[in-house]
Amino acid sequence: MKPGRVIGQSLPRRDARLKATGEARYTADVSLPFLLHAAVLRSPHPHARITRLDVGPALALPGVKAVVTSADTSGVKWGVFRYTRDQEFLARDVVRYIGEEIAGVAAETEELAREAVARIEVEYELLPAVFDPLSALAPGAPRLHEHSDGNVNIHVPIHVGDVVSALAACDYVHTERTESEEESYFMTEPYAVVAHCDRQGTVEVWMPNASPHTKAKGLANALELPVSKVHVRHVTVGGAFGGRSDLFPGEYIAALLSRKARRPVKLVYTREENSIAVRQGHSMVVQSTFGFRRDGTLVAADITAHMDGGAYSSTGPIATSVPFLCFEQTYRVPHVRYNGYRVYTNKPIRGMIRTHGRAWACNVDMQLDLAAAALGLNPIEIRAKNALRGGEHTPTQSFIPAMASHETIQAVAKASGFREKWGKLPPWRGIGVGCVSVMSGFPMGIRGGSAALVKFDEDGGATVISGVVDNGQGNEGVVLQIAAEALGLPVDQIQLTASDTEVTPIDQGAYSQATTLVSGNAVRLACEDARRQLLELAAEAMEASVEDLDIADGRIFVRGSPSRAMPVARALRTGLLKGKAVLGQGSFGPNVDQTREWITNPRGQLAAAFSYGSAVVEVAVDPETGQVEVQDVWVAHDCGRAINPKEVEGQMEAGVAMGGHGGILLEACRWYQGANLNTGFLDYKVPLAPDMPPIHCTIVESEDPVGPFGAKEGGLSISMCTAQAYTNAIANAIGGFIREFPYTPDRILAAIDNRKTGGS
Amino acid sequence: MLRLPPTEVFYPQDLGQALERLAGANPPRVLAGGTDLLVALKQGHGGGAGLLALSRLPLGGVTARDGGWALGAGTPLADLVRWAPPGPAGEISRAAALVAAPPLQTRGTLGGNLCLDTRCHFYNQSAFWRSGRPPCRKAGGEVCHAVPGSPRCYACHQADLPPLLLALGAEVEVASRSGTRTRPLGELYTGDGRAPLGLAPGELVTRVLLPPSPPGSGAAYEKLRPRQGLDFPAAAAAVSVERDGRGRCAAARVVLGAVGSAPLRVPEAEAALVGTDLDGAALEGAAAAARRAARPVKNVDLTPAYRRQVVGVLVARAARRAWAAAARAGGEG
Amino acid sequence: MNRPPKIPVELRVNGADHELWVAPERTLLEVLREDLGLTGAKEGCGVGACGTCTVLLAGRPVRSCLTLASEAQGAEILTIEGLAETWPNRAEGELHPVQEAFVAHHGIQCGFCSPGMILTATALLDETPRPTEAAVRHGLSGQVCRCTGYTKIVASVLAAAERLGEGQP
Repeated sequence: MKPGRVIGQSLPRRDARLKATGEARYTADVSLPFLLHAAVLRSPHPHARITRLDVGPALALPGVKAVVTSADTSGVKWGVFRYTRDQEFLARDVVRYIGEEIAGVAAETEELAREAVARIEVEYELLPAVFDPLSALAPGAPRLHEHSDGNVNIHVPIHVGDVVSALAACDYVHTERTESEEESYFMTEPYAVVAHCDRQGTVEVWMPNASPHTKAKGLANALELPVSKVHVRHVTVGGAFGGRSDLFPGEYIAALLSRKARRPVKLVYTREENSIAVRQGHSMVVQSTFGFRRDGTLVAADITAHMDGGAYSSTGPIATSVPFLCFEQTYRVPHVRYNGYRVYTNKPIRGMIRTHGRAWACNVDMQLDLAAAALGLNPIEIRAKNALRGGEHTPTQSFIPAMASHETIQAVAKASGFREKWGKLPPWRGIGVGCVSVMSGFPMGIRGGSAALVKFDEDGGATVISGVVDNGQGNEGVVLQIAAEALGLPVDQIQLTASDTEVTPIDQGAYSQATTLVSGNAVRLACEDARRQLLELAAEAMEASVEDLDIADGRIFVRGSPSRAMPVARALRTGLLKGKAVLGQGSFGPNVDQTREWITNPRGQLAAAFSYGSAVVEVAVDPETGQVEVQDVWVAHDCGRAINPKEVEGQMEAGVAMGGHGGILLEACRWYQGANLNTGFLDYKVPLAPDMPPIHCTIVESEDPVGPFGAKEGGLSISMCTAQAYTNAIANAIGGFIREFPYTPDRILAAIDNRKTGGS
Repeated sequence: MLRLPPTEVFYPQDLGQALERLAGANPPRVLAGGTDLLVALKQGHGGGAGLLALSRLPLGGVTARDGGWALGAGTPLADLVRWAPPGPAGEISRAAALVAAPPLQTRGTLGGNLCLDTRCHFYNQSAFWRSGRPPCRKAGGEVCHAVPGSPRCYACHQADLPPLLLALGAEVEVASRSGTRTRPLGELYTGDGRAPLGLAPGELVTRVLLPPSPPGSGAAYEKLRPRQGLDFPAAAAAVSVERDGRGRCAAARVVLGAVGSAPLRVPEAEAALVGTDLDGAALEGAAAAARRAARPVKNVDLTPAYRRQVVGVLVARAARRAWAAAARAGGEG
Repeated sequence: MNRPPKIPVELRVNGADHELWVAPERTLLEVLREDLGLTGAKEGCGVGACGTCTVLLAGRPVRSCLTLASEAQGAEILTIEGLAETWPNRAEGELHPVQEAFVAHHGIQCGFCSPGMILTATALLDETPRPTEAAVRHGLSGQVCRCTGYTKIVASVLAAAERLGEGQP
């Protein structure tokens, strides 16, 4: 089918009018009759044994309706994988980070719940604690979990080819070590949950989430209920960025309190709770050795990363792997070894976040600039030479069906005038480029696909039913435009019922960049199924053959003679008179190797589609203050076909802000003995409007063979490659790389001073 | 939601009633905008018997006075931004626009900014955060987390307007039940991070008095912050200069912000400027003197070594800008 | 806990008068959301840093989380729910031009910052009808958006300025 009626149009989002008027309902805005309010008792200590816990004084407070502790739970531990089940949602005996949940209280008001929490009596025996991954690995380090000797939570070992021999044969070999502090999500909506366990044994839950079906399954397990009895409801979500993915104690505690109190319960986190008790990014130390041939061909890379995982596993195996996977699909590297260690520490739990570790992404990309300088190439040439292309395989055996890598590199090079500027900028000015490929989804077993339904009303209106979830990135708009294109109906004739697990079929969620590809294809297939049924009804009534019919603007017509037409509504009614309703269904599972496993078998087809992004950044550094003025950012993205170009641009600009400007210049979690010093918007430096530079977006249109109407992942590539381009541009301006992220002005000035005084 | 602890709020009918309340045994805390105080209360930094809200008293407004200006303590920062008078006082409008962000300038007041509490990464935290460790000196304890073993509190003075107003030679009018007195603004600051304000019990800041600017004078305020909005200064400098008929600096005031527990006037930096035409050597001399005087510790954004280095840069930049303004003013006059 | 008695507060919100009895320490944000059901103002941080609770008080943007309800007495309060109605002669379903611009120019992603962002922009354009891009960015410097990178927000505000300025000298 030729796209073009709706695909490619920058339609305004349907929910924008709700959001512009305050009508959109976020979880904290949800209210139910007879509602109770909850608060959580958290550990103020990074590592301690609970020697006494008495909730009696809390229960004695009038208006307190329920208190839950580990005594109320089955003791089953949560983990994304069978082998990572290490977290109880209410701590039993030992707490392992500041903020860990110990008890929950439900009361008539939020104030009362908090007062009750303050009355709970807890005594702790403080245990020695450890706050960084290398210290946690040292002999004699405090041990977090009985099951983990030496505090290694996850080890991802990958070795393809023969790195040692290959490096020995290289003309240029260089080792880089980089470190970074944690990024934090700072989605503007703090986590909240409303849970209602009713007397027919079902549970309704509202919460910001990136996968309602994953939440429902996890919650069903924890509550020992069938999944069909856990209804995660649709709600407007105020941002995710990877921080809403797996199951959190909050939803479990709220549901448990509701079950105990027999009333709906609402729990709204403070900003501080959202910062420490949801997820953070991994801090990490990355060491890489790269080997090139004299002509700039990358031959071998040996990379070791130590990632601070915090106290529990969360998405650990995935988070430890994804930075490597993005690298291996970005540049061709025949010999490659990766050892990723995710290490337990007494810090909050870490999850997946946009750049997946700037010390990782920027380390490997700065290697290309260093090699280019040593081998007399420019940064564009060396990337063009090594960029993986469509039709090739990654080292871990993923086939890349299509990827316009070169086109994005050339697009940013041309738009920015990189070649003309390189080496010719005035002092303290710099320009840099970065490249990244991102996968559209990855194997997630039985939860890796999506299914969708479409039904019709007698007046010709359609309702799409899909588990797709929109965290703000516009996923609902994406599937609506796909449905409109596939059905031949105007968008405003289509309704969407999304992310309500009681009615929506399974969907993988919005956390592996898979929504457009997987959910989008399921919706497309459902709509094509419905369209076929419609055309069959019309063909009979119009005495035409199905193959000759088409639908546009709500009318079914004979191709070539548009006067022979009937409205969709009439075709539907014709069917209904015969007892035939049009009900489309579609399901889609990406063609991935389901035997691929993150640790035990990291090879085989990872994803069905791969996108590519390139960025060029130009900066001016103030040599007296170390402050960076970003003058322009150029980004180019192969996201397949852009279903809604303005929305794709929005994702690209967003990536520049979070991965590039925030990630490289501003953002870092600061610590004091395991306590996060900057949990708020004042001290954690999310970029502000006057900070952001002009951003020039180029969407490199391509047609992905697998994606719906040729579309695939859009946006994440830009977050990562922009981080690299910022790094490389600043190095270009000050004449050398800084090995600690982020590049705050104190670090930049120290680097400038070191260089002046001949230091390293 | 993050809530305030139960608190009484007094709305006095007139200044006398306000001062009467303040003179009581357990005086309320003064609410002069609330953009900082209410945050502290939400974080569990209590104390005081309720809040004394000044918003309904006629304490705001700017008036010309003896060739200079009288600025009411209740003047919203947003009004100062819009004020924009000619001459060195115009820099006040520019500095006010650098405080936090516009919605905070609406409620924040001049008096509130003058009396802004000192800040520290270890103090400006929630009650939960602080419950995991012994209370620091500023919170009534015996330890300092920023400078372990220190006998004093190093909380940082990060208000934007005081350094500039000091550079402009401002005085502050303070009222109490026993009357009104005028003091040099510098006396308002104790340098003690724990109790940074030198106000006697029962006293309230009511006005800032600016002397007339001599002809050929200029002032500038330079603020370094991580972002171009919201942030307190990590280092700041205010400089005022007077240019004599021969193009030499006849007088100068140099005041540093955010590198200690009070705004810090640096006479050595002033001496480096006076008598020169603010050539490179003079500016470097002033910058070096500022660096010697600054005492930043690791309790706000960016490293102390960096803030010390940069405060010198800010002094030189402020001096250069003030000098250019003075030249323009001299040319006009 | 020692609770002082509730106090009477009269608020004029979106043109409607409300007589309330509230605990004296309650903020305008609490009263808007919990007593008046106006949940358009959000609490993103509660300490004035994020801007999601911003409403207009006498036409100027304020943090409703750091404004006592009693301090808001006597002034017009405008929340996002009331903004469209302040636009005269609008067609059925039409919003205020600033809202329409945010919708049309993709200035909204997750939407959590949008009410505060749109109200702050409205106050900015009221005072500075033809702002430069730099003035828009400064005016919005207290409103954190984590989704958009601000490009399309700034474009929305500039487009709204055009629209509001149509037919004016």
